Formats: sequence, structure tokens, C-alpha cells
Amino acid sequence: MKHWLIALLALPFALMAEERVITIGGDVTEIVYALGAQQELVARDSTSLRPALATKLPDVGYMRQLNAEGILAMRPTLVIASELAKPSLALQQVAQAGVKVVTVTGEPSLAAIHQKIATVAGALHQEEEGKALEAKLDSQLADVNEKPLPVKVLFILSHTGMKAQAAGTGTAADGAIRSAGLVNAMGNVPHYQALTQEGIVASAPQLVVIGRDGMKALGDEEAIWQLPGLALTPAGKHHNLLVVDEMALLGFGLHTPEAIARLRKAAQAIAQ
Amino acid sequence: MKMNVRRGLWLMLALTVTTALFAAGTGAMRLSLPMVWRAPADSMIWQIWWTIRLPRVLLAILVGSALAVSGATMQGLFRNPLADPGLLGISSGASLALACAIVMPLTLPAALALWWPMLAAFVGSLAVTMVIFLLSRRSRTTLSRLLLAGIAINAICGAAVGVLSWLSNDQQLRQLSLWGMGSLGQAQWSTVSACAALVIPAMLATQWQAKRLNLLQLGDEEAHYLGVNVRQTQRVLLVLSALLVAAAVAVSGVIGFIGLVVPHLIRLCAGGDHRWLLPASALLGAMLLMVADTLARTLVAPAEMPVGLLTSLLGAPWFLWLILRRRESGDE
Repeated sequence: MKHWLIALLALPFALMAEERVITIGGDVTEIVYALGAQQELVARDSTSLRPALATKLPDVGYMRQLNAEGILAMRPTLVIASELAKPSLALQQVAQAGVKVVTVTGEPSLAAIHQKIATVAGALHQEEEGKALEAKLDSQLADVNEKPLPVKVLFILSHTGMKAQAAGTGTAADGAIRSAGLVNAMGNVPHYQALTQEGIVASAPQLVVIGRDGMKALGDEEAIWQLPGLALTPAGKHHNLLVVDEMALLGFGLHTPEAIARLRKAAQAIAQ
Repeated sequence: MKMNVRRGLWLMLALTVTTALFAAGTGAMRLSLPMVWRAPADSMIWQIWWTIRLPRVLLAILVGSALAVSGATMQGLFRNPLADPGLLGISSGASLALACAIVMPLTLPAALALWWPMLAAFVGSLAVTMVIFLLSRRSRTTLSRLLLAGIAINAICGAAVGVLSWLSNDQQLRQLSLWGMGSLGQAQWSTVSACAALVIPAMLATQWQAKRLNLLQLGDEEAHYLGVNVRQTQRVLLVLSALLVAAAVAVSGVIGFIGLVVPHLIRLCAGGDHRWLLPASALLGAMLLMVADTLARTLVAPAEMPVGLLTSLLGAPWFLWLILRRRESGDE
């Protein structure tokens, strides 16, 4: 009888432990860790690099080139995938094989972070932890002053083996600059554009923002002011440079409010 | 000789079937054929094997043989052993249409969204096939001019894809370049049957022209005196091989070197008689792509590699060796 009782008590825990989750999308994986549900994770996609612990999990590939059999081989019971992975035949096949597939929004806006947390928490039955996380996010968002501040910001994207590019409209960097209430210096051109001397001088940025990885690709701070035209801009004259965590600023995940608050602070220091 | 070749063909068929069985029994999931055989038809194991792995193996067979037959036909047609299905610009036409579809996405119903890139690639390759067909109908267009036209088409499409990828955002760019590496990841029964409906009739029709293709090897004039309607035969074969490439490219992206290397291998062991060369190329192409795809599916499991990357990685050194060897033996 006693054994039975113990077995009965242990049953819900056993069932919970049996949930096997695969996350597709770096922001999704980060939220799962923040909810403290990482023990249910069995695999992740190749964009899930945060937190560092996540990289120890098996990698099911790049989110736009998933392999249905590979995913099913991990015997998941739940796949939480970013909208950016769709449309995907692999995810459709995974769903057909009887695995629950939950889609998380991929929109690059601050409002979307709430939605992401709510969706992931709901899928993992961690609503309370989700609420707590959203409250924490709210307090961080309160730090972000969205009041318009006319400081022109230039975001530079740089990868090894590629010419440095400036972020125009329709990019995640543009979304981040706007969320901080600031002005994108390249606000009149679409997408990422290669830096041209005259274009940069004309855009007259007061603050240059670059990712930590981009900085590494270029070398050091001096190398940044050597980029075409940059030395002739207001930012170049005063060496106004902000080095940010690219994934935090552009990923619209949990660390984005913090990164945007830093961006705002740097801009305010210039405006004074 | 003929007896030997026929026996060789049967041997290759047996090898292809063995390879297919091996490929169907290997993958990220531990699903061996005996396990699948014993599993009931409504079990998960059977479902996964039937809806995911089997279509993929069949698609590898179709695409591999289509590329190889088209390569063999074009090499015969142009009497140039370096001709390749990519030569006439069919795959670049497909990639241009695909780039348009990716960079300027329409809001599509979910049911169509998955098919959209495939449809676009197919329309693109058909458009280039049409251009080639119309050019070949003009009385002044010789095969060598057509070859130059192919180079021009390649250049135009390449430039346009360049413009589109310059306009594209991060994700679109990544999707475009992944497509260029080729993958059989779109395999499902509907894709397989659509591809088969095009590839199988086109291959049979090509085989039917094999004897005339042999006569064309003697030169246009000689073939004409032997009773071949040279221009018509060339046109038919051109369109057939273009269709084969179109069907392959639409479902799998750009998979390199199968069409170039396979016919060479066969010619080395069985000679240049197209009646044998074409079916043997089909079998070897199917085998090679099945092996490459099995590697692509399993090497980095649970993820997968682009299979076109593997075939090019293995094919390119072989191609180099082929060129160097030709130079040495002086049979230019």
C-alpha cells in the first residue's frame, strides 16, 4: 500500500520529467532557460547560443534548414519554434508524427518580447514563472525612455570577410534605435548598405554603435574611425562609440531592454 | 562486348537496389529495415519511415538519374565532354526566379507557402528552356551559338541574382545561399510524384533517341546522310535534357557535378554507345546521389548538411583530375 502511494505521488513528477522539448530560435531557447525549464530541453537549433550552457545540447541545424528525421530522432514531445523558421516542411512533418509544435512570434519589436514569453511559458505550463519574467521585463522596460531624443545614431554591421555596412530602415537595428526614441542616421535608406564616404558624412551620426563581434572583426576602436568618412562625422570628432552585445540589441529577446536602455543612456550623455 | 555491357547494366541495377535499401535503412533515427518490416502500419516507426525517409530516397534516385542523363545527353549533343546541365543557364534561370520569390515575398496562404519556392524555381527553369527552344528553332542558330547563348543567360541571371541578394535582408540572403548548395529536404510524396511525372517520361523519351544521338557523334553532315533529321533531333534532345534539369533543380536546388562526372565514369568503362550510356548514367547518378544524401543526413545528425555541397566537394577534385589526365594523354 505504502509503495503504491509513493508511486502515485511520484507520478506527476515522472510525467513532467517526460516532457522532451526542442527549441528552434535563439530567443526561444533563452526564454526557456530564464523560465528555469532547461531540464526539459533535449536539443536546440544552431542559432541558440545563449546561455552558453545551451551549446552543450545537440544541435538540430540551422532554423531554415531543419531535418525532420533528425528532430524526431531526439524523441521530442514538444517543439517550440520561432516564426522565422517557417514555412518549414520539416516542422510540418514533425507535427504530422504527433509531436506538438508551438510557434513563437518573430516580430522585431519590444512588444513582441511579452508575447514570446507568454507563448513559451504557456507551452511549458510554467505560467507563473512566465508572469514573474514578464514583470521583470516590465521593470526593465520602464527604464527605457521612449521620449523622442534627436540624437542621430549609426549602427555598423561588420563580419569577418565582409565590408562594414550601415543599418537602414527595416532592419532590427533600426527597430532598436527607434525603440530607444532616437533617430537612425541612415533613416532614408532601406536594409543594410555598404559604407560610402559621402553617404556617411552626409548622414552626420552623433553616436556610432557597433556589436562586440563586429568590433573584433574590424580590430580595435581606432580601426572604426578609419572606416570611410566616419572621422568627419560629429561622432568621429568626439569619438562617440558604443560597443553593444549584438545578439542582445538585435535579437529582441530577454536582454534587449537592457541593451536599449544602455543605448538611450549613451545618447543622453551626448545630448547634454 | 554487347553481352558484357548488358551484364554490367544488370549488375548496376542490382547495386542501385542494394544502395536504395541501405539508404532507406540509415538515418538519424534508428530505423533499420527489419524493424520497419516488423512494425505495424499505424505505428510511429512505420509512419516516419514511410512519410519522411522513403520519399527522400526516391527523390534522390529521381534527381540523381535526371541530372546524370541530362549531362550525358548534353555531352553527346554538344560533342563536348565538358558539357554540363548548368551550361545552358537552366539552373541560373531557376535561381533567379527563386531569388525573386524570396526577396519579394507575397502574402500567401499557408498551404501554398511551402510550395512557392519550388514553383518559382520550376517556372524559372522552364522559362530558360523556352528561350533555348525558341533560339534553336531559328535556322541560323548553330549549337555553338546556343552554347554562347547559354553563357550569356548564365551571366544575365547571375547579375540579376546579385542585385536581388544585395537587396535582400540577412535571412533571405541565407535562404538563397542555402538553396544554391542543394538539398533533398523538400522530399514528401507530393514532391516525389510531381518530379517523377516529369522525369520518367523525359528519360524514356531520351532513351528512345539514343540511336540518333549515336549517329550525331559522326558529325551533323554524316548524320544527315545516314537519314537523321539533325535539327529536329537536336531540338528534341535539348528540350528533354532541359526538362530533366528543370525538374531536378526545382525540387532540390543546385546539385553540382553529378551531371558532369557520372557520364564520364560510364564512358571510361562501357564506351560511348548512348544506348548503354544513358541507362547506366541514370543508375550511377541515382546511386551517387543516394550515397551523398545518406552522408548529408547522417554525418552531422540530428542536423543535416546541404547535399550539393558534398557532391561538389567530391566532384570538383575528380573533375580536375579528369582535365589533367586528358592533357597528359593528349587526346584533346
